[in-house]
Amino acid sequence: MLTVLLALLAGIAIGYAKIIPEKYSFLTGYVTWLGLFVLLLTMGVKVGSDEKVLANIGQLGIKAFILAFFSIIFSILCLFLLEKYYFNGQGNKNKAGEST
Amino acid sequence: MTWFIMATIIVGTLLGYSGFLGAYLNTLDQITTWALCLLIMGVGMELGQNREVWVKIKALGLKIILVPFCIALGTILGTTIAGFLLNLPFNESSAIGAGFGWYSLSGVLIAKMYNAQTGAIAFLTNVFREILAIFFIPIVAAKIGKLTAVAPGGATSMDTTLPFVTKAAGAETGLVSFISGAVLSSLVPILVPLLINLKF
Repeated sequence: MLTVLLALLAGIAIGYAKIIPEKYSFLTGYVTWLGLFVLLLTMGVKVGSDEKVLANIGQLGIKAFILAFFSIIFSILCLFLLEKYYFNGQGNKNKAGEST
Repeated sequence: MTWFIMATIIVGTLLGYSGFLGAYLNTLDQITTWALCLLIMGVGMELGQNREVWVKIKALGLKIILVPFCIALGTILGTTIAGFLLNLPFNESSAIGAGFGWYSLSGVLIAKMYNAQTGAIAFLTNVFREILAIFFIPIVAAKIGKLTAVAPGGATSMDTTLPFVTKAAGAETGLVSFISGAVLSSLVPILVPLLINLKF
């Protein structure tokens, strides 16, 4: 947990300070790709070697669908309340979505 | 990108299922710790390089931060309620939600720091969120409100679902969408580890 936060802060500092010359800034993408590749592969290995997960993959999919559906519905609800009662309530001059 | 992610996971799953790596699973765990640090550092570097986001936030006013804040709140509230119905503990359901649609990152974080099963649910949930968002965005923009059309995409509203927001709700909302997605993306590597480690 602490390692993750430190790695994140170090990354933000390196990226923000522009330590890496512009010419090599594409390397940032490769760092992320390499880490992601190894982790995706091992996530697959963990799932593949876990018989309980494999046997229930259909049920996990249904759970995931319900979680995704609820996450969208409630984020729409929260943002709708903000749009209606805060952004529109301030009058059109400050309307975030339509300011020119 | 999507195909690369799917192919890598499928190859990994076949490797795991075949049992070839049985004896090396512990070594693998050390390698993944390094890979996790590398990935998170890379994510940080990309976030840090995105200086223009701060310029854009200043241009629209600081209150624009309320948009991703409401989306984060609604998302975690939604997955917590769904988790309650599905008998998932709060740390799992909230951390799954805190992926905000960034399926590659949230899936591997939870699989590495918690367990494979919850990692798989997080991955699938956030894949479904991105797919469902593409269906929801035009409907929400037309029936509910243009600004609200930023909500379904979550963190993906800065890249993969951005063109759908721009098309359905206009370029101005597209700018809000980009900022919101950038803020939510920055929250993923902080909130997911934080929430999954909560114990009651």
